[in-house]
Amino acid sequence: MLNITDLHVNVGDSQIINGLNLRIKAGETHAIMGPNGAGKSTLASTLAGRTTFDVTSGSVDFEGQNLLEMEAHERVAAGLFLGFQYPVEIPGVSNLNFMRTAMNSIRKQLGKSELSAGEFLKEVRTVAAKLDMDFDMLKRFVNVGFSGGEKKRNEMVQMAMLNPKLAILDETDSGLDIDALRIVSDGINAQRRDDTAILMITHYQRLLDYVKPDFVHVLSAGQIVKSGGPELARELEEKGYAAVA
Amino acid sequence: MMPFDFIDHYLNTASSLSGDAVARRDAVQAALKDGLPTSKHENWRYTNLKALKSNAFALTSVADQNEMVIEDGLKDVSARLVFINGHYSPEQSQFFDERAKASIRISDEYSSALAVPDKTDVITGMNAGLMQAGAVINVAENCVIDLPISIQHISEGADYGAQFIRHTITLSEGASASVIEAFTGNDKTYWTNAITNIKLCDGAQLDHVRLSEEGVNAVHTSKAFVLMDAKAKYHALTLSLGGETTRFESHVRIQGEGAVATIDGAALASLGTSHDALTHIDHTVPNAHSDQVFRTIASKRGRTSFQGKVTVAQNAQKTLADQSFRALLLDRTGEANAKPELEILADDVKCSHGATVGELDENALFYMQSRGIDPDTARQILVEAFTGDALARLSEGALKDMLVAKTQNWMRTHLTSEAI
Amino acid sequence: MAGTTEAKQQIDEATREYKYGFVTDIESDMAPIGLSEDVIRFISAKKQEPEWLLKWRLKAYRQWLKMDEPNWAKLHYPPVDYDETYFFAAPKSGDKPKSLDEVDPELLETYKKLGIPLEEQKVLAGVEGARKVAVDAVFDSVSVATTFREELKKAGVVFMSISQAVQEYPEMVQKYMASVVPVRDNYFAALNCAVFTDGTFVYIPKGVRCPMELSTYFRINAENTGQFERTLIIADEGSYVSYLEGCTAPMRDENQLHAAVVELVVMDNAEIKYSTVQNWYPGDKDGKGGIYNFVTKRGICKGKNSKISWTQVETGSAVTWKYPSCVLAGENSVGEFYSVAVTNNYQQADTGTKMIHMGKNSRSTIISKGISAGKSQNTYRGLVKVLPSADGVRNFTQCDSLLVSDTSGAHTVPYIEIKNPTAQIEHEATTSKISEDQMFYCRARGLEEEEAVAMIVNGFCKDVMQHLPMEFAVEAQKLLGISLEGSVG
Repeated sequence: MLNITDLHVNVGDSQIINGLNLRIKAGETHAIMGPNGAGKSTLASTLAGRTTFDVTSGSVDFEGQNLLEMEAHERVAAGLFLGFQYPVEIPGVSNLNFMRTAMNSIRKQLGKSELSAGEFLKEVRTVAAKLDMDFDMLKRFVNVGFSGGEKKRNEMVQMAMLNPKLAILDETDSGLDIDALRIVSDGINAQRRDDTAILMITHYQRLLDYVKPDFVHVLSAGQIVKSGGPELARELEEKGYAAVA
Repeated sequence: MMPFDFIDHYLNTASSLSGDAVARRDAVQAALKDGLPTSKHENWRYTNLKALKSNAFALTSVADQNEMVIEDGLKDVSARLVFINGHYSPEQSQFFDERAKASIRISDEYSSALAVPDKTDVITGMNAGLMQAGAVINVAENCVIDLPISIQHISEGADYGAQFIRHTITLSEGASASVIEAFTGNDKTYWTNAITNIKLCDGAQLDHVRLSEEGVNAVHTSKAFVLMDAKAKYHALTLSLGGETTRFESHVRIQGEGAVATIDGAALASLGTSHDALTHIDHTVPNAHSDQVFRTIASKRGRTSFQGKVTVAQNAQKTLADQSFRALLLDRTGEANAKPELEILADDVKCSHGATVGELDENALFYMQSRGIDPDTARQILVEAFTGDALARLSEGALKDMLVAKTQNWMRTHLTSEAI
Repeated sequence: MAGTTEAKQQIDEATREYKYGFVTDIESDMAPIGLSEDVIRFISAKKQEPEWLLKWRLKAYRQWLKMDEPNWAKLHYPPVDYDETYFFAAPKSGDKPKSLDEVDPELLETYKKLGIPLEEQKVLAGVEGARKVAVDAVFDSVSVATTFREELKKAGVVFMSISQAVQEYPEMVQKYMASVVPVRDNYFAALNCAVFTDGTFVYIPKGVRCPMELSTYFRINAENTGQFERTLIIADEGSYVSYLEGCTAPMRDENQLHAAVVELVVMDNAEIKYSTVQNWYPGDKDGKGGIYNFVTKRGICKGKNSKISWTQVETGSAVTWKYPSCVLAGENSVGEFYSVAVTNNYQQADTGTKMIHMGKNSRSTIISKGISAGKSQNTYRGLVKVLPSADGVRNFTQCDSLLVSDTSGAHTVPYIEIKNPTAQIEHEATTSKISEDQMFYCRARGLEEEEAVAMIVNGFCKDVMQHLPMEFAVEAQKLLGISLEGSVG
């Protein structure tokens, strides 16, 4: 599904990703772990199409398409989703309007007809109920005045609505209490299917107790320096990054 | 100084108009003595009136309106008054509500009286001397006119027409009305000089919208002078979408306790146009409240400015006065100026103002794009949310829908990537 | 009034007469009353100035004649009669108090509260025959000052009167004087150029961190130079200096009109921190007397990463007209303005700043606290301007006004002019009175009303006061309380 080959990414003059290789197949759940400054968030944002990151060489193939040639919104239509570490607040724009515009924009890109207001509402109600989100929250402005946990829950609602093939979750577990963490992990687990894949990016192994990855990679200085199974995450937790990587 | 024949033209014109010819002449003479304001005049720091200095300007005449179809975008109104080239058109105007009909007459008589005095301003003085026509709206005690009174101003003249319009609105005790003044025109060079004189008696309530969709070469200067008695409510919205230069002024004097004035505005400037707003809220009595929300957008050499002044007299204790101005610059050529001003002589007050200038939030744009929304749509949604703050206080209904649609339409034509 | 054609004619006539009749008396301590080219020649000759400086002064004078006194500030004062002003003179000794007994008792009371020793009180109050070493005394001893001077010399720091600098560093003075505040910048600046009597010159060489805080205390050599002072401070690459101006003790001064000019030039990676405490005579309770203070202060951040920080505590003067500003020309340069302005009785202050952003990623911060009491008027006036070339500019402005009486005024007049979309400009302003809850809480803990006001006002000003150097901060805090005395109840 995703094939990253020898990726190099610069931010300004400094190289952050430095020859990274990664292959993810459908039905797999991967976790990338690494110390602060290893390039985790840069990788996530680069895959999602943030233009402040400069890909200097390498290639990224997503479902047979050259991902790097696509604009951010086209990547979403192709089935890629990024869960933000810090979801953005957008005053004046309601969650409902935001989501409906997004869904229809994607449908337009895929040559499908727009969802009617009724169809949309029905779907969003179902999803919100599943993820324990109060419908009133959907009427509020996007993430404005939401707590950390509410923001992450909102990310999960959006992910469920967009139903991506590949979900990249950037530090989705950061700043969550135990209840919120459970809701988020339920959201991720619900998204795990034979035809989808998950890429979790995290600093701690805590989330991995709730969402068991098939593969764990250690990112350091912009490269994957070690790969393994779930046991690698526990090893990292016990011995620290320095000892393992 | 202005060229001599410019003054001469206006003087001769003034004497030929109906009403007191001598008074009109005097008014123009007094007004023009110092010439048009320049950027050295504090109140005109950000507005350029050079275009008006041309000798070619002449008063507009009655237009041929056989082919005209007037469309104000509003289905339900209590009355539709149509002014073409500064002259009232009885043929195009319609009354749908008996109360509205009983409250409105049309006048072309000279009048120098203003609800709030403004002795120094040339623009105001010229309007007094050269006023061609206007509506006189008197709403009787406790009379409520539900649907908006729509006043349409259309410029369909030749180049260098100058039109002087002067409306007077008086709401007696407990009366309530809603008035929209809309200005549109062709692409000729012309000047609209409009004044609306407003008196709100105790407990009266007025919604007052001014909309400029003037032609691309037009200069629009319009002023509202508002006098508010106790517990009166005045809500104003100015929406500046058109004209080469559009300038809305609001001068509000609160002289009755418990009055509430909310003065909002949005201005969208592009393609070298200049959109300016000037407000002055004068709190002369205790326990009144004013609040202002202005949002402007500038792209492609567009300029916006906001000069907002709040004065609080010494005895006007317990005054609450807030003001918020925010400007978005959408590209390197846009410009935003602001001068929010507080002048406070009472001590037990709460007054504040906030102003920000910046560009669209990159993080929000990327966030929207990462949810599949294309950049044009994302930009439009953000800009709409931004200007939406200024429209938020207008009560829901056809009028608001129409104004929202107009801003959306403006954004579609000016803010898509092809347009940029 | 000068500036009008009529006045100009009168002056022309007067000077014509002088050409034949007037003989400059170099030996005299006083120039004739009024202002003319001859008076300027007198000043220049008296100071043994080079020809270029005399020419420069005369040019400034001719410029000044063509200018009008600014009237846009929210200030009302009787017009200054420039023909009745001495521009270079010690006041007649008869005007001076003979002993402290003749000094306004309220002034003495203030000295007592500030804890100023008796001998120094005489100096400050301008008692006849008081020690000439004058204000040095505030910092205790001449010997300390001398030690400081030696230390500065070792570091290569130039710190001298501007008259001396004209003789010793003519190139530098010629290059930078009026480079930040042009002669024609404004009426009072032009006047200062024509008649400035003395001032301070500071040069901090490359890479030098000035080993101590420089203070005008050390330098004022004779009385009466304060009227038309000129200060020029140049911080060369990578240098740093903190400069203190003024004095917490109210200085008695016979000159009503003050028009100083301060210019700062800051090169790459250098920083100037300029702190002022201004407590000149504000006039009495009925608004009689007091200093007119028309100051032009401006600095240019010429180099990249350069920084200027203005901090001012303004409690004195009957009329204050003052806008310490920053021209942020260098990339990543930083401008700061922290101000407390207290007005009481009939005082009027119109003060603020200008931040002109020309350099990429330049940043500025403005924190202004105005406190109005009595029948005073207090105005913040400021400009934040971003030019098209300046990408990535950040500005934050906070202007708060506190009203302590219902007969005073608090005004806020900010200008925001932005021509670059990458700028992020934030401006906030509030006006309110001291909250009754706060007052009651303080009173309930045993504070007297005036103490409570002083405490709350000090809290209100904290964001600014913390930028003052330590030795100033403590005194300034006391000063706030004293300035507001009699404002409540």
